[in-house]
Amino acid sequence: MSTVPKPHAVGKIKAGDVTQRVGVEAMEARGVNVGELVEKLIDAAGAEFTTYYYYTILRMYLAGHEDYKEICEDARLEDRAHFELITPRIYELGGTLPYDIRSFADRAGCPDAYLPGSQNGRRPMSNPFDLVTNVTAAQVLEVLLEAERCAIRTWSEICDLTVAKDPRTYDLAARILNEEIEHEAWFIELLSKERDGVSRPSGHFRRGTPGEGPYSKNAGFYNP
Amino acid sequence: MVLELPGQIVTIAVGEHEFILAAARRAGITLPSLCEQGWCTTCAVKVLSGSVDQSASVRYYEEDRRAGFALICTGCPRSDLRLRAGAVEEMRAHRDAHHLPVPRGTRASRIKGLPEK
Repeated sequence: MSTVPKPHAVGKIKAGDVTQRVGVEAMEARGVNVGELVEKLIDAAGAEFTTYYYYTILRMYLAGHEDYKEICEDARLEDRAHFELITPRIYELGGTLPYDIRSFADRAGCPDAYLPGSQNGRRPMSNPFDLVTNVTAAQVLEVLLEAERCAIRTWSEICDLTVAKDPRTYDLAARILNEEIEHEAWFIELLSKERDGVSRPSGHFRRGTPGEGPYSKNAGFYNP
Repeated sequence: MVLELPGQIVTIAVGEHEFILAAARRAGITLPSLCEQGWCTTCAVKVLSGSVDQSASVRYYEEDRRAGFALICTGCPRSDLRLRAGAVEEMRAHRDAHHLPVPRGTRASRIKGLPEK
């Protein structure tokens, strides 16, 4: 029997070594700064998570615009799906979410999508019935639109960092980016008509089910 | 406004109610930015002289102003200005030193025109 080791057993990482990852080594060999990428992914996951929270509030203030509510709900659920989609990749690369949710929200790469009239979240609340009044649909749609635009820039940057070097992260980021671009198109369409009376069609019709996530949920990674 | 970039210094006219980043873009200069709402600090610059109105920024602290940082995506000039671009990592260190929140995945060096560190 030959004593020459098999080629796949003589890589930089010794057989049985669980402290290093070939999946990471392969990316670094192609020029990815994995530490920097993980930081970026955590910021991006934080933005998706906080957006999910703030969209929950924003959606409540679209009274009388049931179509807007449904579309906001699709974006809300899909942003949560993005958080779910990217989080396993952070761990796969050896990283972790912050142990304190406050740290997680603080480092989000995109702004908190505050309810208009809430003084960027600093509005004093004397009791839980202290609702903001007179919020217009156009104001809410503008917040939604700018949140989506930040997400597009974020995931585009992650695609740039990983294209042709880290196909797994690239695939996940591209799926998310696809949906963020659709969300922007929805909110351009709605805000343009609501605020300016101008038609700027998104080219889309409603999702089949709320938060369907046609890209982020079409081939489950771990995204229940 | 005078803007110091790696290897060059440019002078740009900025309107009183115009965001500095928008004015730079109008002048054909690509600068780092991401959220464009005054939050992520990707667009951070060092204010070498002058004063910037940050009232349109979602998250900007008095400590940032005192330390001479500005977020030009949502900053308007309030005087003649001299700025140094590409201060995101300096600003992150400043926020960390003051226990203030800041994203951690931002790197100015990714942006065309600014050198790799």
